[in-house]
Amino acid sequence: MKPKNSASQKWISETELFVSFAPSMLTPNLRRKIHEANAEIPGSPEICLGADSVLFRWRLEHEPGAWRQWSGQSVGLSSACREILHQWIEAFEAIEADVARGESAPAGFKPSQEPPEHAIKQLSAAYPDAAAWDLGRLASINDLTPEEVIRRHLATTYVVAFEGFVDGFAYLEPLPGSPTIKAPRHESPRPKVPAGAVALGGPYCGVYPTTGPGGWNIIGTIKGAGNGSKDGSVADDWYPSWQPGCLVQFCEGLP
Amino acid sequence: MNQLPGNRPGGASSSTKSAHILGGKVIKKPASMIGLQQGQMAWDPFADAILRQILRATTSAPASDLFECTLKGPVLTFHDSMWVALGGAEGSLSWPLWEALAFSPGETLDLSVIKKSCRIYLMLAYREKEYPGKNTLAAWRLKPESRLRANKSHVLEILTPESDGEITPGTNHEPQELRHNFIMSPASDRRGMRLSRASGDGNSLGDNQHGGAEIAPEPLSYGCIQLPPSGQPIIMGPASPKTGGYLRIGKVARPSLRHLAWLLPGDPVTFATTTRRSSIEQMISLEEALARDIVPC
Repeated sequence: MKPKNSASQKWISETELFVSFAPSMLTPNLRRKIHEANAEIPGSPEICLGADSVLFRWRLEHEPGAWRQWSGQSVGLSSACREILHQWIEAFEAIEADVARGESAPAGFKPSQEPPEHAIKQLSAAYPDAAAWDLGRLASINDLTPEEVIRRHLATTYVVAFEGFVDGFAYLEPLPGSPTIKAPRHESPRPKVPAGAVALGGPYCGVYPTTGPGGWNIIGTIKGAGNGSKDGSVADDWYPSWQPGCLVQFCEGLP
Repeated sequence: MNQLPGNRPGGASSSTKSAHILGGKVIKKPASMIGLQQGQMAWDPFADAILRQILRATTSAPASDLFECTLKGPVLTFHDSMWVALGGAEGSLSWPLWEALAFSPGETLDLSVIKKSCRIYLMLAYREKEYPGKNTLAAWRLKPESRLRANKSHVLEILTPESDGEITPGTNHEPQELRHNFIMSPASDRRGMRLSRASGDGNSLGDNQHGGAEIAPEPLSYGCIQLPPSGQPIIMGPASPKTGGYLRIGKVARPSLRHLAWLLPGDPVTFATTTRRSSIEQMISLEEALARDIVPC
């Protein structure tokens, strides 16, 4: 695959460059490199990673002339980003090819075909009617009983795909071969979802770490949620430290 | 003591919480103050820039703090000598905006004229004893005729592709989805400003050509416009989620964030298009006005 055909980038605002990758091209190695190496990109932009995309955001100070200076810079920054990303993509592809030929991977590099090495993290959750706002909806969409929806969810091993949405939130992706549950997002997101809510959205599962808006289907609650700090966030003592590649399973416990 | 209209000693609201400012208890946060965000005026970046410059010119004090409040008529009690700059508020107010005001310990700033929820920007700095104009009400101010003053507008500019194809504003840029007249919904908050169709402008539900579309979660930022299947757009606020999987159809242009900052539930909203280049030119023009329009009293 030619890297230059695999990613496209566009300015989506005055100071934000959006880079879209072909599905599955944004490997954990490349994600980590982009996340950690923003200083290697001219202007050290803030970086936000999506599933198959990255947003580079340059923050301009309120200093005289900052915008005039920016207007002359941004074309060059776009080119520089394109070059740097292509270099990284090519470098990682070369390493993957070397590893496939039997060579050892360099330190810090994890071949994408290698299975996750982390121990499975067990999250204790409860699925009472009062907390399972959308269980009936999912049961209806999937033509299953609510019990079967929960059974499938509990039988699924998830892998932490990436962090996003809000601080403390991780997109959990079912491992291949897991039982499927169709979970289309709501027509309109709810303004307020409680902290600790276990939810399914599209192909993902997630736990809302704080009270806030959300368009996913709520099926349960993490054990101990609601006893968190004053700002509505969940207590640190059970707040998982998400690491991409980490495996997660939910087990049923009392709320 | 300043005889500001509306200023009176004591008289703080009986229902208050402490707000820690500049390392000490400077004001109390009345219950009627709905939100008090410290550190950055995220809603209105230009209010931030203007007030910083006013207080920098007035005090040269490095210690200063910014507050972005959503409130309903609180009374603020000051426990230290402070310079305060107010960056606007909704309604007819009796104190000068966009000027540095001097407050002494025990003085209060009475905002009780405000009856409905609105946003206001305060910037505070310790008063320096040696400041020559300490008995002067205001030292530096924004020129009254300056166009940097927040002029409320219900028209938000959104970015559209430029002819050279340099930008594409959204995953699926669908400006026709934003051609309607909208109303700011009461469900709006710092995370997202929800719009509903104005009455007589069609039924939003089921009228969306992209109903049901979901995408892989994409990065979001302040001003991004999402279109959920309901057809009711959501403009991301300054505390918006970092990623989201609803269709992203555009982005409010940077100069229009000023107007977005002042919209309240029930306000009408329409969209107009602009280009990235034009938007940057507007920002250059605004920053030049910022350097020019803050003057000594």
